[in-house]
Amino acid sequence: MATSEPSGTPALELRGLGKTYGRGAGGKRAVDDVSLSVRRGEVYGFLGPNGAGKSTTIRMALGLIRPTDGEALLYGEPVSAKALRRVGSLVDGGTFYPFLSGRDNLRVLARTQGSDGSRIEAVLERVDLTRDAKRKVKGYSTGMKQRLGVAAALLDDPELVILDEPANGLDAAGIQDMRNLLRGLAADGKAVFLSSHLLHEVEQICDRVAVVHKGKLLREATVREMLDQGEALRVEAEPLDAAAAALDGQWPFTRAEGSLKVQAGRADAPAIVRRLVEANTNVFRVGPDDQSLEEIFLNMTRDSDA
Amino acid sequence: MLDAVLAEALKLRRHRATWLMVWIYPIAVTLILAGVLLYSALSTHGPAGPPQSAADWIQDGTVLWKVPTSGAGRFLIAGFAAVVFAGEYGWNTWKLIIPARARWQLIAAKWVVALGFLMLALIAADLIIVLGSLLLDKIPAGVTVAAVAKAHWQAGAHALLPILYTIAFAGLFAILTQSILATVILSIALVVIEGLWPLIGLFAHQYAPALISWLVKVLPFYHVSNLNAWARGGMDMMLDKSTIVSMSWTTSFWALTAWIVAAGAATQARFLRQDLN
Repeated sequence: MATSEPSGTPALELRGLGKTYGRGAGGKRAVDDVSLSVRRGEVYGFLGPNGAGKSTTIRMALGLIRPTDGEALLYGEPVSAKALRRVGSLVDGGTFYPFLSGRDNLRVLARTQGSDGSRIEAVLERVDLTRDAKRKVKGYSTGMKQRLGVAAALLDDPELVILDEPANGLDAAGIQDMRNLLRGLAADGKAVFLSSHLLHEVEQICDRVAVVHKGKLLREATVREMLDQGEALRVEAEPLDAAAAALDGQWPFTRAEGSLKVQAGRADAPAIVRRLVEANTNVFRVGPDDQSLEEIFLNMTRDSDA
Repeated sequence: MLDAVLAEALKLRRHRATWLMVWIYPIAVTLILAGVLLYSALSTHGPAGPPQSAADWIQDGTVLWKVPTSGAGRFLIAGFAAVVFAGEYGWNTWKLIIPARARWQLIAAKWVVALGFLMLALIAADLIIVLGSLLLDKIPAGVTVAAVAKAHWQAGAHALLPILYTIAFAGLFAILTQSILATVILSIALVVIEGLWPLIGLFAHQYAPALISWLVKVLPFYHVSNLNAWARGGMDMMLDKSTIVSMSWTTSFWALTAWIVAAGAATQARFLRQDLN
Protein backbone atom coordinates (compact mmCIF):
# COMPACT_ATOMS: atom_id res chain seq x y z
CA MET A 1 0.00 0.00 0.00
CA ALA A 2 1.35 3.42 -0.90
CA THR A 3 2.34 5.68 1.97
CA SER A 4 2.45 9.44 1.63
CA GLU A 5 3.09 10.61 5.19
CA PRO A 6 6.59 11.48 6.55
CA SER A 7 8.51 8.44 7.77
CA GLY A 8 8.45 9.63 11.40
CA THR A 9 4.67 9.78 11.52
CA PRO A 10 3.39 7.40 14.22
CA ALA A 11 1.22 4.53 13.05
CA LEU A 12 -1.27 5.39 15.79
CA GLU A 13 -1.42 8.58 17.77
CA LEU A 14 -3.94 9.44 20.45
CA ARG A 15 -4.13 13.10 21.43
CA GLY A 16 -6.04 13.95 24.57
CA LEU A 17 -8.56 11.25 23.78
CA GLY A 18 -11.59 11.17 26.05
CA LYS A 19 -14.99 9.58 26.23
CA THR A 20 -17.89 10.39 28.52
CA TYR A 21 -21.03 8.27 28.52
CA GLY A 22 -24.18 10.14 29.40
CA ARG A 23 -24.51 13.84 30.02
CA GLY A 24 -24.40 16.23 32.93
CA ALA A 25 -23.61 15.19 36.46
CA GLY A 26 -24.60 11.57 35.81
CA GLY A 27 -22.12 11.22 32.95
CA LYS A 28 -19.45 8.54 33.32
CA ARG A 29 -15.94 9.39 32.23
CA ALA A 30 -14.65 6.14 30.68
CA VAL A 31 -11.48 7.55 29.10
CA ASP A 32 -9.82 10.76 30.21
CA ASP A 33 -7.15 12.66 28.27
CA VAL A 34 -5.20 9.68 26.94
CA SER A 35 -2.23 10.61 24.73
CA LEU A 36 0.23 8.13 23.29
CA SER A 37 1.86 7.16 20.05
CA VAL A 38 2.72 3.83 18.47
CA ARG A 39 5.66 3.65 16.08
CA ARG A 40 6.29 1.35 13.16
CA GLY A 41 8.17 -1.80 14.01
CA GLU A 42 7.25 -1.88 17.68
CA VAL A 43 4.86 -3.83 19.84
CA TYR A 44 3.08 -1.44 22.16
CA GLY A 45 1.23 -2.73 25.20
CA PHE A 46 -1.76 -0.99 26.67
CA LEU A 47 -2.09 -2.20 30.25
CA GLY A 48 -4.85 -1.84 32.72
CA PRO A 49 -7.23 -3.79 34.92
CA ASN A 50 -10.72 -4.65 33.72
CA GLY A 51 -12.81 -1.51 33.33
CA ALA A 52 -9.75 0.75 33.00
CA GLY A 53 -10.88 2.09 29.62
CA LYS A 54 -8.64 -0.03 27.37
CA SER A 55 -11.41 -1.40 25.17
CA THR A 56 -13.14 1.97 24.88
CA THR A 57 -9.85 3.53 23.77
CA ILE A 58 -9.32 0.80 21.18
CA ARG A 59 -12.87 1.17 19.90
CA MET A 60 -12.30 4.91 19.45
CA ALA A 61 -9.12 4.19 17.49
CA LEU A 62 -11.13 1.86 15.24
CA GLY A 63 -14.03 4.24 14.64
CA LEU A 64 -16.52 2.12 16.56
CA ILE A 65 -17.04 4.78 19.23
CA ARG A 66 -16.92 8.55 18.75
CA PRO A 67 -14.63 10.37 21.17
CA THR A 68 -16.09 13.23 23.17
CA ASP A 69 -12.64 14.88 23.45
CA GLY A 70 -9.38 14.74 21.57
CA GLU A 71 -8.66 12.67 18.51
CA ALA A 72 -7.15 9.45 17.25
CA LEU A 73 -4.85 9.62 14.23
CA LEU A 74 -3.91 6.70 12.00
CA TYR A 75 -0.70 7.49 10.12
CA GLY A 76 -1.40 11.17 10.72
CA GLU A 77 -4.98 11.04 9.43
CA PRO A 78 -8.17 11.21 11.49
CA VAL A 79 -9.96 7.88 11.81
CA SER A 80 -11.95 7.24 8.66
CA ALA A 81 -12.82 4.32 6.39
CA LYS A 82 -9.83 5.24 4.20
CA ALA A 83 -7.37 5.44 7.10
CA LEU A 84 -8.71 2.20 8.57
CA ARG A 85 -7.80 0.33 5.38
CA ARG A 86 -4.24 0.20 6.73
CA VAL A 87 -5.38 -1.30 10.02
CA GLY A 88 -6.20 -4.86 11.04
CA SER A 89 -8.06 -5.37 14.29
CA LEU A 90 -9.26 -7.90 16.79
CA VAL A 91 -11.95 -6.75 19.22
CA ASP A 92 -13.97 -8.78 21.73
CA GLY A 93 -12.02 -11.96 21.10
CA GLY A 94 -13.09 -12.20 17.49
CA THR A 95 -16.71 -11.54 16.61
CA PHE A 96 -17.96 -13.59 13.69
CA TYR A 97 -21.10 -14.76 11.92
CA PRO A 98 -21.90 -17.95 13.84
CA PHE A 99 -23.82 -19.51 10.95
CA LEU A 100 -20.87 -19.25 8.54
CA SER A 101 -17.70 -21.32 8.46
CA GLY A 102 -14.39 -19.80 9.47
CA ARG A 103 -13.34 -19.58 5.84
CA ASP A 104 -16.66 -17.98 4.76
CA ASN A 105 -16.33 -15.42 7.55
CA LEU A 106 -12.96 -14.42 6.12
CA ARG A 107 -14.49 -14.33 2.62
CA VAL A 108 -17.19 -11.93 3.84
CA LEU A 109 -14.57 -9.76 5.52
CA ALA A 110 -12.31 -9.80 2.44
CA ARG A 111 -15.23 -8.74 0.24
CA THR A 112 -16.15 -6.00 2.69
CA GLN A 113 -12.56 -4.78 2.60
CA GLY A 114 -12.67 -4.83 -1.19
CA SER A 115 -9.90 -7.39 -1.49
CA ASP A 116 -9.93 -10.55 -3.57
CA GLY A 117 -9.43 -12.88 -0.61
CA SER A 118 -6.21 -14.31 -2.03
CA ARG A 119 -4.62 -14.23 1.45
CA ILE A 120 -7.37 -16.25 3.14
CA GLU A 121 -5.58 -19.60 2.98
CA ALA A 122 -2.28 -18.06 4.04
CA VAL A 123 -3.71 -16.42 7.17
CA LEU A 124 -5.67 -19.56 8.06
CA GLU A 125 -2.43 -21.49 7.81
CA ARG A 126 -0.62 -18.89 9.90
CA VAL A 127 -3.05 -19.31 12.80
CA ASP A 128 -3.28 -23.08 12.30
CA LEU A 129 -6.98 -23.15 11.41
CA THR A 130 -6.85 -24.64 7.91
CA ARG A 131 -8.17 -27.97 9.12
CA ASP A 132 -11.19 -26.39 10.87
CA ALA A 133 -11.89 -23.69 8.30
CA LYS A 134 -14.92 -25.55 6.90
CA ARG A 135 -16.65 -25.81 10.28
CA LYS A 136 -19.25 -23.28 11.35
CA VAL A 137 -17.89 -20.72 13.80
CA LYS A 138 -20.64 -21.47 16.33
CA GLY A 139 -18.81 -24.76 16.99
CA TYR A 140 -15.44 -23.09 17.60
CA SER A 141 -13.80 -22.95 21.02
CA THR A 142 -12.86 -19.57 22.52
CA GLY A 143 -9.24 -20.13 21.52
CA MET A 144 -10.20 -20.98 17.92
CA LYS A 145 -12.33 -17.84 17.67
CA GLN A 146 -9.41 -15.86 19.02
CA ARG A 147 -7.11 -17.34 16.39
CA LEU A 148 -9.66 -16.68 13.65
CA GLY A 149 -9.81 -13.11 14.96
CA VAL A 150 -6.07 -12.80 14.49
CA ALA A 151 -6.41 -14.25 10.97
CA ALA A 152 -9.09 -11.63 10.25
CA ALA A 153 -6.82 -8.89 11.59
CA LEU A 154 -4.03 -9.97 9.26
CA LEU A 155 -6.24 -10.61 6.23
CA ASP A 156 -5.56 -7.41 4.34
CA ASP A 157 -1.83 -7.37 5.24
CA PRO A 158 -2.25 -4.28 7.44
CA GLU A 159 0.53 -1.91 8.47
CA LEU A 160 -0.93 -1.43 11.94
CA VAL A 161 -2.47 -4.26 13.95
CA ILE A 162 -4.72 -3.38 16.90
CA LEU A 163 -5.56 -6.27 19.19
CA ASP A 164 -7.81 -6.16 22.24
CA GLU A 165 -6.70 -8.85 24.73
CA PRO A 166 -5.25 -11.18 22.07
CA ALA A 167 -4.12 -13.84 24.56
CA ASN A 168 -7.59 -14.38 26.04
CA GLY A 169 -8.73 -17.98 25.76
CA LEU A 170 -5.42 -19.25 24.41
CA ASP A 171 -3.57 -22.16 25.98
CA ALA A 172 0.15 -22.02 26.76
CA ALA A 173 1.16 -23.17 23.29
CA GLY A 174 -1.28 -20.71 21.71
CA ILE A 175 0.15 -17.86 23.76
CA GLN A 176 3.66 -18.83 22.68
CA ASP A 177 2.54 -18.86 19.03
CA MET A 178 0.85 -15.50 19.48
CA ARG A 179 4.02 -14.07 21.01
CA ASN A 180 6.11 -15.25 18.06
CA LEU A 181 3.52 -13.99 15.59
CA LEU A 182 3.41 -10.51 17.08
CA ARG A 183 7.19 -10.23 17.33
CA GLY A 184 7.37 -11.38 13.71
CA LEU A 185 4.95 -8.65 12.65
CA ALA A 186 7.04 -6.01 14.40
CA ALA A 187 10.18 -7.43 12.79
CA ASP A 188 8.46 -6.97 9.41
CA GLY A 189 8.11 -3.26 10.22
CA LYS A 190 4.45 -3.35 11.20
CA ALA A 191 3.15 -1.57 14.27
CA VAL A 192 1.33 -3.66 16.85
CA PHE A 193 -0.89 -2.11 19.52
CA LEU A 194 -2.32 -4.56 22.00
CA SER A 195 -4.27 -4.26 25.20
CA SER A 196 -3.88 -6.79 27.95
CA HIS A 197 -4.25 -7.42 31.62
CA LEU A 198 -1.78 -10.34 31.39
CA LEU A 199 1.30 -8.44 32.50
CA HIS A 200 3.67 -11.34 32.21
CA GLU A 201 2.77 -11.59 28.52
CA VAL A 202 3.19 -7.90 27.93
CA GLU A 203 6.57 -7.95 29.66
CA GLN A 204 7.76 -10.58 27.19
CA ILE A 205 6.26 -9.21 23.98
CA CYS A 206 6.18 -5.44 24.17
CA ASP A 207 8.80 -2.80 23.46
CA ARG A 208 6.84 -0.02 25.13
CA VAL A 209 3.86 0.04 27.43
CA ALA A 210 1.30 2.47 28.73
CA VAL A 211 -0.51 1.91 32.00
CA VAL A 212 -4.10 3.06 32.16
CA HIS A 213 -6.30 3.05 35.23
CA LYS A 214 -9.80 4.44 35.68
CA GLY A 215 -9.62 5.96 32.21
CA LYS A 216 -6.42 7.91 32.85
CA LEU A 217 -2.96 7.23 31.47
CA LEU A 218 -0.63 6.75 34.44
CA ARG A 219 2.64 6.21 32.61
CA GLU A 220 4.08 5.54 29.16
CA ALA A 221 7.58 4.03 28.98
CA THR A 222 9.68 1.21 27.57
CA VAL A 223 9.35 -2.06 29.41
CA ARG A 224 12.97 -1.67 30.63
CA GLU A 225 12.29 1.82 32.00
CA MET A 226 9.19 0.55 33.69
CA LEU A 227 11.07 -2.33 35.31
CA ASP A 228 13.97 -0.08 36.35
CA GLN A 229 11.67 2.37 38.07
CA GLY A 230 11.02 -0.17 40.75
CA GLU A 231 14.71 -0.67 41.58
CA ALA A 232 15.11 -2.25 45.03
CA LEU A 233 17.45 -4.40 47.11
CA ARG A 234 16.46 -7.53 48.97
CA VAL A 235 18.14 -7.81 52.39
CA GLU A 236 18.30 -11.08 54.32
CA ALA A 237 19.65 -10.59 57.85
CA GLU A 238 19.08 -11.79 61.42
CA PRO A 239 17.61 -10.71 63.68
CA LEU A 240 15.31 -9.04 61.17
CA ASP A 241 13.91 -6.55 63.71
CA ALA A 242 17.41 -5.32 64.48
CA ALA A 243 18.16 -5.01 60.77
CA ALA A 244 14.96 -3.07 60.27
CA ALA A 245 15.81 -0.77 63.18
CA ALA A 246 19.26 -0.15 61.68
CA LEU A 247 17.89 0.89 58.30
CA ASP A 248 14.95 2.85 59.66
CA GLY A 249 15.12 6.50 58.68
CA GLN A 250 17.95 5.89 56.20
CA TRP A 251 16.22 3.99 53.39
CA PRO A 252 12.55 3.24 52.91
CA PHE A 253 11.82 -0.46 53.18
CA THR A 254 9.04 -2.99 53.54
CA ARG A 255 9.06 -6.43 55.14
CA ALA A 256 8.53 -9.29 52.74
CA GLU A 257 8.81 -13.04 53.28
CA GLY A 258 11.36 -12.99 56.11
CA SER A 259 13.47 -10.31 54.46
CA LEU A 260 13.48 -6.59 53.86
CA LYS A 261 12.77 -4.98 50.53
CA VAL A 262 14.76 -1.75 50.56
CA GLN A 263 14.05 1.06 48.09
CA ALA A 264 17.65 1.65 47.09
CA GLY A 265 19.94 1.16 44.09
CA ARG A 266 22.93 -1.13 43.59
CA ALA A 267 25.29 1.73 44.57
CA ASP A 268 23.76 1.85 48.04
CA ALA A 269 24.53 -1.81 48.79
CA PRO A 270 27.95 -1.28 50.53
CA ALA A 271 26.53 1.41 52.83
CA ILE A 272 23.61 -0.83 53.75
CA VAL A 273 25.92 -3.74 54.53
CA ARG A 274 28.14 -1.48 56.71
CA ARG A 275 25.11 -0.22 58.58
CA LEU A 276 23.83 -3.73 59.23
CA VAL A 277 27.23 -4.96 60.44
CA GLU A 278 27.57 -1.96 62.76
CA ALA A 279 24.17 -2.94 64.21
CA ASN A 280 25.53 -6.42 64.99
CA THR A 281 23.20 -8.25 62.64
CA ASN A 282 24.18 -11.33 60.67
CA VAL A 283 23.95 -10.44 56.99
CA PHE A 284 23.19 -13.39 54.70
CA ARG A 285 22.40 -11.60 51.48
CA VAL A 286 22.05 -8.14 49.98
CA GLY A 287 21.09 -8.31 46.30
CA PRO A 288 18.89 -6.84 43.58
CA ASP A 289 15.19 -7.43 43.96
CA ASP A 290 13.79 -7.89 40.45
CA GLN A 291 10.26 -6.69 40.45
CA SER A 292 7.96 -7.97 37.79
CA LEU A 293 5.89 -5.63 35.69
CA GLU A 294 2.94 -6.99 37.58
CA GLU A 295 4.23 -5.69 40.93
CA ILE A 296 5.08 -2.33 39.43
CA PHE A 297 1.68 -2.17 37.80
CA LEU A 298 -0.08 -3.03 41.05
CA ASN A 299 1.92 -0.40 42.92
CA MET A 300 1.06 2.20 40.30
CA THR A 301 -2.64 1.51 40.29
CA ARG A 302 -2.68 1.31 44.10
CA ASP A 303 -0.96 4.69 44.32
CA SER A 304 -3.47 6.20 41.90
CA ASP A 305 -6.35 4.83 43.97
CA ALA A 306 -4.92 6.37 47.14
CA MET B 1 -19.88 -0.40 -3.10
CA LEU B 2 -20.34 -3.52 -5.22
CA ASP B 3 -17.98 -5.37 -2.88
CA ALA B 4 -20.08 -4.36 0.12
CA VAL B 5 -23.21 -5.70 -1.61
CA LEU B 6 -21.49 -8.96 -2.58
CA ALA B 7 -20.25 -9.39 0.99
CA GLU B 8 -23.76 -8.87 2.32
CA ALA B 9 -25.20 -11.33 -0.19
CA LEU B 10 -22.51 -13.90 0.64
CA LYS B 11 -23.39 -13.55 4.30
CA LEU B 12 -27.16 -13.89 3.97
CA ARG B 13 -27.85 -16.11 0.99
CA ARG B 14 -27.85 -19.29 3.07
CA HIS B 15 -29.00 -17.91 6.39
CA ARG B 16 -32.00 -19.68 7.91
CA ALA B 17 -34.02 -16.46 7.92
CA THR B 18 -33.48 -16.08 4.19
CA TRP B 19 -34.79 -19.58 3.58
CA LEU B 20 -37.80 -19.03 5.84
CA MET B 21 -38.77 -15.55 4.75
CA VAL B 22 -37.44 -15.09 1.21
CA TRP B 23 -36.63 -18.31 -0.62
CA ILE B 24 -39.90 -19.62 0.83
CA TYR B 25 -41.79 -17.92 -2.04
CA PRO B 26 -40.43 -19.98 -4.97
CA ILE B 27 -40.22 -23.10 -2.79
CA ALA B 28 -43.84 -22.84 -1.64
CA VAL B 29 -45.09 -22.06 -5.14
CA THR B 30 -43.17 -25.03 -6.54
CA LEU B 31 -44.60 -27.35 -3.90
CA ILE B 32 -48.15 -26.08 -4.50
CA LEU B 33 -47.71 -26.46 -8.24
CA ALA B 34 -46.37 -29.99 -7.81
CA GLY B 35 -49.40 -30.82 -5.63
CA VAL B 36 -51.84 -29.42 -8.15
CA LEU B 37 -50.10 -31.26 -10.99
CA LEU B 38 -50.29 -34.49 -9.03
CA TYR B 39 -53.96 -33.90 -8.19
CA SER B 40 -54.76 -33.16 -11.84
CA ALA B 41 -53.00 -36.31 -12.95
CA LEU B 42 -54.92 -38.44 -10.47
CA SER B 43 -58.27 -36.68 -10.71
CA THR B 44 -61.02 -38.06 -12.95
CA HIS B 45 -63.01 -34.80 -12.88
CA GLY B 46 -62.84 -32.35 -15.75
CA PRO B 47 -62.15 -28.61 -15.31
CA ALA B 48 -64.81 -26.91 -13.18
CA GLY B 49 -66.68 -23.70 -14.02
CA PRO B 50 -67.04 -21.70 -17.18
CA PRO B 51 -63.89 -20.74 -19.09
CA GLN B 52 -62.25 -17.46 -18.01
CA SER B 53 -61.88 -14.39 -20.17
CA ALA B 54 -58.37 -13.55 -21.34
CA ALA B 55 -58.23 -10.47 -19.08
CA ASP B 56 -59.30 -12.41 -15.99
CA TRP B 57 -56.89 -15.24 -16.73
CA ILE B 58 -54.01 -12.80 -17.07
CA GLN B 59 -55.02 -10.92 -13.92
CA ASP B 60 -55.35 -14.12 -11.88
CA GLY B 61 -51.82 -15.03 -12.88
CA THR B 62 -50.46 -12.00 -11.04
CA VAL B 63 -51.85 -13.16 -7.70
CA LEU B 64 -48.39 -13.63 -6.20
CA TRP B 65 -47.71 -9.89 -6.18
CA LYS B 66 -50.55 -9.40 -3.71
CA VAL B 67 -48.67 -11.47 -1.12
CA PRO B 68 -45.87 -9.00 -0.26
CA THR B 69 -48.39 -6.20 0.17
CA SER B 70 -50.68 -8.28 2.40
CA GLY B 71 -50.33 -8.35 6.20
CA ALA B 72 -48.68 -11.78 6.28
CA GLY B 73 -46.36 -10.86 3.43
CA ARG B 74 -45.37 -7.64 5.17
CA PHE B 75 -44.55 -9.60 8.35
CA LEU B 76 -42.20 -11.83 6.38
CA ILE B 77 -40.53 -8.84 4.73
CA ALA B 78 -40.18 -7.05 8.07
CA GLY B 79 -38.78 -10.20 9.68
CA PHE B 80 -36.18 -10.59 6.98
CA ALA B 81 -35.27 -6.90 7.07
CA ALA B 82 -34.96 -7.18 10.86
CA VAL B 83 -32.39 -9.96 10.48
CA VAL B 84 -30.54 -8.06 7.75
CA PHE B 85 -30.27 -4.79 9.69
CA ALA B 86 -30.38 -5.83 13.35
CA GLY B 87 -28.55 -9.14 12.95
CA GLU B 88 -25.16 -7.45 13.20
CA TYR B 89 -26.04 -6.25 16.72
CA GLY B 90 -27.13 -9.72 17.82
CA TRP B 91 -24.07 -11.42 16.32
CA ASN B 92 -21.87 -8.56 17.59
CA THR B 93 -20.32 -8.34 14.12
CA TRP B 94 -20.42 -4.62 13.43
CA LYS B 95 -16.98 -4.64 15.08
CA LEU B 96 -15.75 -6.98 12.40
CA ILE B 97 -16.93 -5.02 9.38
CA ILE B 98 -17.09 -1.36 10.38
CA PRO B 99 -13.31 -0.87 10.29
CA ALA B 100 -13.37 -2.39 6.79
CA ARG B 101 -15.88 -0.14 5.04
CA ALA B 102 -17.61 3.26 5.35
CA ARG B 103 -20.71 3.00 7.50
CA TRP B 104 -23.08 4.46 4.92
CA GLN B 105 -22.00 1.81 2.43
CA LEU B 106 -22.68 -1.00 4.89
CA ILE B 107 -26.24 0.25 5.38
CA ALA B 108 -26.76 0.89 1.67
CA ALA B 109 -25.57 -2.66 0.92
CA LYS B 110 -28.16 -3.99 3.34
CA TRP B 111 -30.88 -2.11 1.51
CA VAL B 112 -29.75 -3.49 -1.84
CA VAL B 113 -29.55 -7.07 -0.58
CA ALA B 114 -32.87 -6.98 1.31
CA LEU B 115 -34.72 -5.62 -1.71
CA GLY B 116 -32.69 -7.63 -4.23
CA PHE B 117 -33.22 -10.99 -2.52
CA LEU B 118 -36.96 -10.34 -2.09
CA MET B 119 -37.47 -9.27 -5.69
CA LEU B 120 -35.40 -12.19 -6.94
CA ALA B 121 -37.50 -14.66 -4.93
CA LEU B 122 -40.80 -13.06 -5.99
CA ILE B 123 -39.84 -12.91 -9.66
CA ALA B 124 -38.75 -16.57 -9.52
CA ALA B 125 -42.04 -17.53 -7.83
CA ASP B 126 -44.00 -15.48 -10.38
CA LEU B 127 -42.27 -17.22 -13.28
CA ILE B 128 -43.06 -20.61 -11.74
CA ILE B 129 -46.73 -19.59 -11.49
CA VAL B 130 -46.77 -18.52 -15.14
CA LEU B 131 -45.16 -21.80 -16.12
CA GLY B 132 -47.67 -23.73 -14.02
CA SER B 133 -50.60 -21.86 -15.56
CA LEU B 134 -49.36 -22.75 -19.01
CA LEU B 135 -49.10 -26.41 -18.00
CA LEU B 136 -52.38 -26.67 -16.09
CA ASP B 137 -54.88 -24.24 -17.52
CA LYS B 138 -56.65 -24.12 -20.78
CA ILE B 139 -55.41 -20.78 -22.09
CA PRO B 140 -58.31 -18.52 -23.15
CA ALA B 141 -58.32 -17.02 -26.60
CA GLY B 142 -56.78 -13.54 -26.76
CA VAL B 143 -53.98 -14.16 -24.28
CA THR B 144 -50.70 -12.91 -25.69
CA VAL B 145 -47.17 -13.04 -24.33
CA ALA B 146 -47.00 -9.23 -24.44
CA ALA B 147 -50.22 -8.87 -22.43
CA VAL B 148 -49.05 -11.38 -19.81
CA ALA B 149 -45.64 -9.71 -19.53
CA LYS B 150 -47.24 -6.28 -19.18
CA ALA B 151 -49.63 -7.41 -16.45
CA HIS B 152 -46.86 -9.08 -14.44
CA TRP B 153 -44.54 -6.12 -14.89
CA GLN B 154 -47.25 -3.76 -13.64
CA ALA B 155 -48.13 -5.93 -10.66
CA GLY B 156 -44.47 -6.25 -9.71
CA ALA B 157 -43.83 -2.54 -10.09
CA HIS B 158 -46.83 -1.69 -7.91
CA ALA B 159 -45.63 -4.04 -5.18
CA LEU B 160 -42.19 -2.45 -5.16
CA LEU B 161 -43.03 0.68 -3.17
CA PRO B 162 -44.88 -1.09 -0.31
CA ILE B 163 -41.97 -3.55 -0.08
CA LEU B 164 -39.48 -0.68 0.07
CA TYR B 165 -41.61 1.03 2.70
CA THR B 166 -41.60 -2.08 4.89
CA ILE B 167 -37.83 -2.50 4.51
CA ALA B 168 -37.20 1.19 5.20
CA PHE B 169 -39.07 1.22 8.49
CA ALA B 170 -37.76 -2.17 9.61
CA GLY B 171 -34.24 -0.87 8.91
CA LEU B 172 -34.89 2.27 10.92
CA PHE B 173 -36.38 0.30 13.82
CA ALA B 174 -33.38 -2.06 13.71
CA ILE B 175 -30.84 0.74 14.00
CA LEU B 176 -32.83 2.45 16.75
CA THR B 177 -33.56 -0.64 18.85
CA GLN B 178 -30.48 -2.74 17.96
CA SER B 179 -32.66 -5.83 18.35
CA ILE B 180 -34.23 -8.27 15.88
CA LEU B 181 -37.17 -9.00 18.17
CA ALA B 182 -37.94 -5.34 18.88
CA THR B 183 -37.72 -4.59 15.17
CA VAL B 184 -40.21 -7.33 14.33
CA ILE B 185 -42.60 -6.20 17.07
CA LEU B 186 -42.50 -2.57 15.92
CA SER B 187 -42.93 -3.62 12.29
CA ILE B 188 -45.96 -5.73 13.19
CA ALA B 189 -47.38 -2.79 15.15
CA LEU B 190 -46.95 -0.62 12.06
CA VAL B 191 -48.90 -3.10 9.91
CA VAL B 192 -51.61 -3.41 12.56
CA ILE B 193 -51.99 0.39 12.86
CA GLU B 194 -52.16 0.56 9.07
CA GLY B 195 -54.97 -2.01 9.03
CA LEU B 196 -56.86 -0.19 11.79
CA TRP B 197 -56.23 3.24 10.34
CA PRO B 198 -59.68 3.62 8.70
CA LEU B 199 -61.33 2.79 12.04
CA ILE B 200 -58.97 4.99 14.03
CA GLY B 201 -59.62 7.84 11.58
CA LEU B 202 -63.37 7.41 11.77
CA PHE B 203 -63.35 7.35 15.57
CA ALA B 204 -60.86 10.16 16.17
CA HIS B 205 -62.22 12.47 13.49
CA GLN B 206 -65.26 13.41 15.58
CA TYR B 207 -62.96 14.83 18.31
CA ALA B 208 -60.36 16.59 16.15
CA PRO B 209 -61.58 16.70 12.56
CA ALA B 210 -58.98 19.09 11.16
CA LEU B 211 -56.06 17.31 12.78
CA ILE B 212 -57.20 13.83 11.74
CA SER B 213 -57.86 14.92 8.14
CA TRP B 214 -54.37 16.34 8.05
CA LEU B 215 -52.80 13.24 9.62
CA VAL B 216 -54.55 10.93 7.16
CA LYS B 217 -53.09 12.90 4.29
CA VAL B 218 -49.61 13.21 5.80
CA LEU B 219 -48.91 9.89 7.55
CA PRO B 220 -47.99 6.91 5.37
CA PHE B 221 -50.80 4.53 6.44
CA TYR B 222 -53.51 5.69 4.03
CA HIS B 223 -51.04 5.98 1.17
CA VAL B 224 -49.85 2.38 1.56
CA SER B 225 -53.43 1.13 1.47
CA ASN B 226 -54.23 3.41 -1.45
CA LEU B 227 -51.28 2.08 -3.44
CA ASN B 228 -52.07 -1.52 -2.53
CA ALA B 229 -55.60 -1.01 -3.88
CA TRP B 230 -54.32 0.24 -7.23
CA ALA B 231 -56.04 -2.60 -9.15
CA ARG B 232 -59.42 -1.44 -7.80
CA GLY B 233 -58.64 2.17 -8.65
CA GLY B 234 -57.43 3.15 -5.18
CA MET B 235 -59.01 3.41 -1.76
CA ASP B 236 -61.45 5.93 -0.33
CA MET B 237 -61.22 6.56 3.41
CA MET B 238 -64.38 7.81 5.06
CA LEU B 239 -63.88 10.04 8.11
CA ASP B 240 -67.53 11.02 8.44
CA LYS B 241 -70.56 11.17 6.18
CA SER B 242 -69.33 14.26 4.40
CA THR B 243 -65.56 13.79 4.62
CA ILE B 244 -63.97 11.19 2.40
CA VAL B 245 -60.25 11.15 1.73
CA SER B 246 -59.57 10.01 -1.80
CA MET B 247 -56.18 10.72 -3.27
CA SER B 248 -54.68 9.89 -6.62
CA TRP B 249 -52.21 7.06 -7.11
CA THR B 250 -49.54 9.63 -8.01
CA THR B 251 -50.08 11.62 -4.82
CA SER B 252 -49.82 8.51 -2.68
CA PHE B 253 -46.78 7.39 -4.66
CA TRP B 254 -44.90 10.61 -3.90
CA ALA B 255 -46.09 10.71 -0.29
CA LEU B 256 -44.89 7.19 0.36
CA THR B 257 -41.64 7.83 -1.52
CA ALA B 258 -41.02 10.79 0.78
CA TRP B 259 -41.58 8.60 3.83
CA ILE B 260 -39.22 5.94 2.48
CA VAL B 261 -36.51 8.53 1.78
CA ALA B 262 -37.02 10.05 5.23
CA ALA B 263 -36.77 6.66 6.95
CA GLY B 264 -33.66 5.79 4.94
CA ALA B 265 -32.03 9.13 5.74
CA ALA B 266 -32.87 8.81 9.44
CA THR B 267 -31.37 5.29 9.45
CA GLN B 268 -28.14 6.54 7.89
CA ALA B 269 -27.94 9.61 10.13
CA ARG B 270 -28.44 7.58 13.29
CA PHE B 271 -26.05 4.82 12.29
CA LEU B 272 -23.28 7.24 11.31
CA ARG B 273 -23.22 8.60 14.87
CA GLN B 274 -23.89 5.39 16.74
CA ASP B 275 -21.38 4.09 19.32
CA LEU B 276 -20.79 0.35 19.09
CA ASN B 277 -19.51 -0.85 22.43
